[in-house]
Amino acid sequence: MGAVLFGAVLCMNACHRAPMHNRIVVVPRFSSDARWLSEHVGIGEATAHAKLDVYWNGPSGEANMQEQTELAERAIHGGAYGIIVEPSNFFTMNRTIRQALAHDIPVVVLGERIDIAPSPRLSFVLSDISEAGRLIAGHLDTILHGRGEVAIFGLDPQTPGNVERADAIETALLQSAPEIHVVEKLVGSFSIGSSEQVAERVIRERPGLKVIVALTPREGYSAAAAVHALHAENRVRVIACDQTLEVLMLLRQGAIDAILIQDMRGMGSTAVENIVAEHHHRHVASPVYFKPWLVTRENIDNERIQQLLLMHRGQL
Amino acid sequence: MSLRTRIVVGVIVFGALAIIFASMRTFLQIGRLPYRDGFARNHAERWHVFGGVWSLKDGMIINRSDELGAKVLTGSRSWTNYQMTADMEMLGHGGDIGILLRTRDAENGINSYRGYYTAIRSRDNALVTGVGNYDWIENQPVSIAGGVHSGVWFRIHAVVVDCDLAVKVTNLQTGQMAWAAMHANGCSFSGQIGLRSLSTGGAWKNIHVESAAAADMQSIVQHVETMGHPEFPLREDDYARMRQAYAHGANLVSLDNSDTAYTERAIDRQAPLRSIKSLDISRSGGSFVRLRGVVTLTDPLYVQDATGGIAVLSSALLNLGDEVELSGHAVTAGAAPVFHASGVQLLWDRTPFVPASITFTQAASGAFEGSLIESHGRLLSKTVSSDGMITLELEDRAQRFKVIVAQGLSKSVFKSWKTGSELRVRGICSVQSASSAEEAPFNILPRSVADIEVIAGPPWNSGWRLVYLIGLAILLIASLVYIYLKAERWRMRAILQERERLALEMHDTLTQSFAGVGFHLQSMRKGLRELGLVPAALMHKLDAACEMTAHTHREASERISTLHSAAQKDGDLLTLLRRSTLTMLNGSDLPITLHRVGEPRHISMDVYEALFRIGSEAAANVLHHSGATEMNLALHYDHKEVRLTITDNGSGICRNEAKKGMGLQSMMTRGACVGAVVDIRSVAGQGTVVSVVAPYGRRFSLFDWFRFQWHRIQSSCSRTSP
Repeated sequence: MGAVLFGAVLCMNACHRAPMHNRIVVVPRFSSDARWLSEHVGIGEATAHAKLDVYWNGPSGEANMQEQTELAERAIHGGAYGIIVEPSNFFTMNRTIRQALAHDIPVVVLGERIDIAPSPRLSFVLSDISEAGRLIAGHLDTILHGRGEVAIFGLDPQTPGNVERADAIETALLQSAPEIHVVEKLVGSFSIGSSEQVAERVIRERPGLKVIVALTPREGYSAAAAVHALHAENRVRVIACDQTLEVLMLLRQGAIDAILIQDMRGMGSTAVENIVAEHHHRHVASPVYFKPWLVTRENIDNERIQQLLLMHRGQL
Repeated sequence: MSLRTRIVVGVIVFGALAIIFASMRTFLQIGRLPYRDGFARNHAERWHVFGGVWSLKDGMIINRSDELGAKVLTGSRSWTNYQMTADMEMLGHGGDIGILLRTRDAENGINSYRGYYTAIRSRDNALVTGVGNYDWIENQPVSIAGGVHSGVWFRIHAVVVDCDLAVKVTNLQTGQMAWAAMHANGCSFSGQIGLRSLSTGGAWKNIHVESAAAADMQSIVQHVETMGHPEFPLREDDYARMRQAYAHGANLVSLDNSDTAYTERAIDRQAPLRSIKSLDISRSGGSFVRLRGVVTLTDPLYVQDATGGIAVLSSALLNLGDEVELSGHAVTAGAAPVFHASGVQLLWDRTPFVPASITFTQAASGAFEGSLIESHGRLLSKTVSSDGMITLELEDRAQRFKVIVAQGLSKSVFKSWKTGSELRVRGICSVQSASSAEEAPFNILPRSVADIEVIAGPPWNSGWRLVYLIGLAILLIASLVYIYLKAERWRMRAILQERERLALEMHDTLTQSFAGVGFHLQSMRKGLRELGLVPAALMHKLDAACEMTAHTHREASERISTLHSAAQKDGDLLTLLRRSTLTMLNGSDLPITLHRVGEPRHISMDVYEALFRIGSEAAANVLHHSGATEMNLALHYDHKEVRLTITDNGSGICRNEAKKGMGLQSMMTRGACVGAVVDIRSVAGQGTVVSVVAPYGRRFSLFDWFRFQWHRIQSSCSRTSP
């Protein structure tokens, strides 16, 4: 009887933990903004169809790569059905992803490509960077009428897809609007305040500057704040990349001219389908590219855009 | 089941029940309602932390971090319908603080819990209600008259009954109130309570929880226009409309980095903006400048920008992650400058700062003074002061330094750090605060105990752990030897049982046969004697044959009796000797007196047999050679030895006979085998005294086991040697 009681006490802690064998674990870079809410919608749709659970938890800040790795490791130890991850860095998640693959757990890398060798259970669901470049270049051509100075702001070689996005914009501009010149390419900073200082300096030093293309939401916010602080709203416009609720509100109030948004809903749904296909030994196309969209005040209320930006599944 | 087994089982069951009761006691205590926590003694052992930087001060529990979704939980998972009241104050900007109800499955993370959350939010001055399920679904926010401002205390009263949540919030300064209520589909029916903040710091006090009924719910719901549902907003355009409704015509997102609640004194905009590393270094005070940086430590206050960090003297209430602009001047009083801030203004919040991973030698150089760093070292010692400040002494290969951090809510983390462990420490590198540059050139000031992580426990051969391991090894060996001895005892018992069986077999066959042969010989002798025709020589031989048969019968009986283990149980040695002697007398009349002195004790088998043999031999000598008319058998049970004495009044033994006699030699030899001393004293014509002093003999001991193993090894070696 004593042994049974002792065993019961030992079991009390371990037994209440839910098993992960029917659960897809989603580890975004950062789990509070609109981009990830839309991804959650897509994943929720697909997992409901496949009768799977979702465990959704991300680091409390994009800089917290260790927390992201730990969450993925827990998924591996829990024997997750699959892992969907968007690494914050090119290399930090590679070992963890390989560990998951070694445990026969399918992994989908979402958003941007990272440097990891192809593997049978690893697939990529990516944003179409070339299309992003074309969309932004086209919009620049429209608002600048084919001529003007542009600064690209928020370069970060450590963040997957960041430099590639800047290169895609430049390439598209060369092809479609060669008279629009990228006159500054600025590295981002760790804080909004210091980024704002950088943006203010560029606006002051470049009187011919017409547009700041911010590669991240934080730099978009900083650039908008700099424009506002220098009362340069009539001279300099801001284009931001990736959706957060804050930059979407800035778009609505006119502080930001356009936002390049990702089809996170579609990507999330496809990522789940890839994992299910891996488990059923079906062919998985990889990489799959999703075209981004450029949102302006004119089209933000379109139903198609609102569906891309859907924040919860309850609306369906 | 033997008595010993019963005792062992009883002790195990009692121990198991005691452990279960001890572990359940805490659970049972916090599982009762009503529950009240005023943090009066600055103890919060029952609160479990999930993120944030939590501390206790003056009866308040405080989080000083901008972290998204920092929370602490307590109470019972079995609490169902209850109401919770708490006073709370926002310590920051642009976030929300509130309480959690019916919470389960909590983890570190933004929405990493299941249950209800209700809060006051400064961004839209709203009372928020909703459901977390590793996701956040919000009810329609309710505007709070007078707004939500930092530094203002609010009282929140939430009632949860069935799947309904109703909340009342009161501004304790103005008395203005707001009410909200919602119904959740598929809610969880029980769970813990908690405190949570998102994007800002907060303080809570006077936590009170008690059971609730429909009437309690109704007292709040009657003030609510509509019972909401946690599904708003789902679309971005809904969200934008909600923000516009609460912006009252102002911008949805403020781009003016000014917040009067956080401006301690106005910033002097004319002062030049400098980076921390470009500050004037002067003992008398540098020029008046502006700085921008992120708060990396709140107590003491440290700010860091891209070039480095600096200690700041200011009374401004800031949280970790706040990005601030400071105006003032730097004064280099000790080894590093301190910024005396005359103006403090919050710019942004939630700005993460990644620590620089460096060696402690680099830290000691002063190049990282005031900066957030990370490194690891070995824990040498740990102390905690009465005010809850923990001081750890760490070292790596080159440096020895101190880590100073507030204990936080629980002592359990402090207790979990073992001396000799390898710790990873994140915190502010402070050369300035080091008390002795020779012994510890710098200190590390972590933001909370969560910044100290155990990488590896102490090495196995360190201090008490080594003693523990040795003790464990001794215990293990002792257990194995005990088991071995048990097995040996079982084996011995089996041998004795086999001997007993053999004795019975021999008795049934050999002695019965001898008895039969003796009977026939005696019949034959009797018949021949009656006939009277047999020659005397032949009759003499027949008599001898009868006598030999009888003698052999007696001898066999005696031998068999010593094989019989029950003999010792039936009586002591003295009784057995008397019986044996009487058998030898074969009907002759010789008075035998017995004396037993002392309490009979267990005598080992070897000693017992030796004493019996010696006693029998002595008795036989008395009968056959001494011509004694009386014999005395005495057995003394002394403290450490047993003494057998056989005394007769016969002719005595002359010295020559004593040397020649095989019987006496045999007695000596038997005695020597068991460590006994045989003493024979005889005076011609006055009798003989034979005394045997022997130890009681030992049980099979650990020493015997080692000796046995040694002999085995020796014999094995001798077999293998050529």
